[in-house]
Amino acid sequence: MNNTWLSDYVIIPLILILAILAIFPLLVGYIVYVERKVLAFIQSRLGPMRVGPYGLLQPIADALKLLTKEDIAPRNADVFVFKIAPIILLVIGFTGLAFLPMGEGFELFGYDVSLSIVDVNVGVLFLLAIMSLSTYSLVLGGWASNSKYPLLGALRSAAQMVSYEVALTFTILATLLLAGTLSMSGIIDAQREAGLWYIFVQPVGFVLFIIAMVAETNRLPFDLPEADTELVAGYFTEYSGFRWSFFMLGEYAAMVVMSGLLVTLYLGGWMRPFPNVELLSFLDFIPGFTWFVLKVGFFIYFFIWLRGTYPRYRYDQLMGLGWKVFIPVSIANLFITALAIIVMDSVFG
Amino acid sequence: MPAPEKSWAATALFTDLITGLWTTLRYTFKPNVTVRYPLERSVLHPNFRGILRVDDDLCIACFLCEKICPDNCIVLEGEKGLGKGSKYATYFYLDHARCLFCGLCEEVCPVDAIYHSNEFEGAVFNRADLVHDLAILHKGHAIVHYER
Repeated sequence: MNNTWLSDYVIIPLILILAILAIFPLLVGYIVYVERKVLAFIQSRLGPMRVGPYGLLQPIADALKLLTKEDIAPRNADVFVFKIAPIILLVIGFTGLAFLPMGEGFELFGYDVSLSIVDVNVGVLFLLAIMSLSTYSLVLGGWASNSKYPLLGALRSAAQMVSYEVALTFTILATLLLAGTLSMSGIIDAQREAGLWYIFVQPVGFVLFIIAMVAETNRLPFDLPEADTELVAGYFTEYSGFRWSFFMLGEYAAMVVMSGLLVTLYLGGWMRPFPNVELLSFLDFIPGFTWFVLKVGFFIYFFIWLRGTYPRYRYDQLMGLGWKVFIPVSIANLFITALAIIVMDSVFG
Repeated sequence: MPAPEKSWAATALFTDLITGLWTTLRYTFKPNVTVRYPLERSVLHPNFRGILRVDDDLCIACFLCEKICPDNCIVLEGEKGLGKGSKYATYFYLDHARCLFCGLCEEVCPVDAIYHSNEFEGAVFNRADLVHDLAILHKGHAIVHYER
């Protein structure tokens, strides 16, 4: 190996960062395209069909349209905060992407390349901290617009994300107890050593995580901060052009990050299904990145599927569900997990 | 109607939510029902009430359509021709901007002179062009088949 300090910490991460920065906006465009298509199929419609074959160039047309639109700030808005808010969300979304272990390391031109850009030993903690910062973007954007609907959306987002973050954190804690590490790749390794994905150990935690994840990313059926039918577009009502698209990018980046976190915590990250079953070892030729993309892709589809199925929750239902059901259940889940670990340790040494 | 009783287990296992997901999953793979209109055209029902046409050879200028029209969109005048029962319309104006396509005139006409065609692409740039005179009503409005 001819890895040096420079290649490990500067060159390889930089290349990966540039790759993500270049690919991800296009990817988000196509996630939006898939979302429109799937929603259309659910409603027996066709979805975008006019731009390119099967509307495949629609995302590019949309992006061009957004870039050419005028950048408007409302009168009496706090212009600086108004302009900085979407950037905060975008930066948070992209930062989150850096922590996902997207595949096993491989060797390229004599260098060891790791597919997680940064693999810090407190990855999960850092990711949670980063993701909860996104509330700031929504609150600042909503407040700085100086308009009633954005303000209502901002208030809702603050309350919603704070209450669901608690349940989310307790749920993750139970998994961390099992893994014994906060590092994202460490959790995957722990699942490999245990020989099974944590979804089989933590089914309740898995379900809680999915629901809290939907609430955390402000997606239907918990999209109260956006709530098109009540609040026009919630916190980004006053935004237009590429600032609006920053909000969309940030939202979809959050979806990808949360799906990636879910996959890492409960579905073995980039590992193939049943990593310890010899019978399935013929699957080993498929690179880990493919499994990661497939798993994350499924959960992106799941987000869209939920959006096509459920109506929006009422605000008090959302809060009641968060505080009266999710937090007690997630704490109970944590206690039972901890108890089980102690019992297993004392019985089996 | 009271909500159906749900057992505790059904709530915990999200049976209703999963039923919903199953429904939408089935619909995802069903054939779509929309028609890509300018590229393909849907089959019209035989009773489709499109743009009105008048066969002035048949019209006996009885004014029944003018009387029954709820929107007063028909104005006509007739005069007696040679011989018995040979009254005919001298002019006949039908304002499609007012017409609500109810079909009453078609129903009331004793000689089936006024009828709904199955054309629906009657958009024009000038509102006055929606008033059709006897010539247009007879040979039909110039139809533009939109293609893109």
